[in-house]
Amino acid sequence: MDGELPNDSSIPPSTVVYRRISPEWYGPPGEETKRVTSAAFQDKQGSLSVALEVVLLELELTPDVVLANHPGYGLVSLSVGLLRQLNLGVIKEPTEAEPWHGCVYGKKTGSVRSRLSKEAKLIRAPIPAPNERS
Amino acid sequence: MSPNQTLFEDLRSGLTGEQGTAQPTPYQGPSAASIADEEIFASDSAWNGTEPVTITVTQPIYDRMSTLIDRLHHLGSLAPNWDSYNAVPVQGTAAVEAMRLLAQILTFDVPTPTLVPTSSGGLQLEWHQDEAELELDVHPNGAVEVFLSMPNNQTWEGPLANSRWRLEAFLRHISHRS
Repeated sequence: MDGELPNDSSIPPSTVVYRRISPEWYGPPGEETKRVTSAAFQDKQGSLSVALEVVLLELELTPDVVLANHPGYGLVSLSVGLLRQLNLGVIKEPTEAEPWHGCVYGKKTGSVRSRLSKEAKLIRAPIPAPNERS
Repeated sequence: MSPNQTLFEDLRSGLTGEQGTAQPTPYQGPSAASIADEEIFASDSAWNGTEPVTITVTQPIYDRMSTLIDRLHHLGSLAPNWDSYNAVPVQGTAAVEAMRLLAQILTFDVPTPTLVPTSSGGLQLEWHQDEAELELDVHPNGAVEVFLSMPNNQTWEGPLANSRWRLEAFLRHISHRS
């Protein structure tokens, strides 16, 4: 851990984290050109759940495993280096169901969330719910 | 029907019940020279969580809000964990404050925003136009935080109560372009 902000410096900055994207976060509804909203990067209690590429590689798993049992959800990736540039820390917090689970700590201000939404790379687009399709 | 769904039905009927009959005074913004922060875009009192909600708007504004009311109704039906990360459902207070804000903001000739839920049970209203963006983050308790970014890369964020002239400048900016 580095300083007060939880951060695991053994997670290389060249790796990425993945975050599931609810169909509700991919819009505007009914329009052809869609974007991932910054609301997808707002945490509830100081941390943001992600999947760590570095752990997935160790386990010889692909990012698709993050979407298993979550039909319709999308997936984005963010570089760990960018997160640290934005004064965010990344740590491993494995769970029984998701051994690749990690958390991003630090203040997600409006400008930070906006930057994350612009820099997020869309790996899989969410599939809108039937009543939200154009 | 859950309490949340009842509220969202109330919000819908509250709006439709008054449409066409109301003659509200449109919000009169301050002069461009005025930069004093005042508490505007805020309701006189917070919703108490029990009484029916009526938001009075003119017919043209009602027409523009209609799609967003449908969207709000959809968001109000989201189950717990809708984001797969233990999100809570959209809270009634956030829904009421979001609709009150919309009713006032749409008195400006601006595009309708995108409405998205937040994991904490709030709502976010978003406008993105060229390089300009405005996000109003309505917390579950009804508090509102503003983030705006202008094409010249100037950004500002803070509580809505401190954002009046900046918000109006932004709305005028995107109004000219719409």
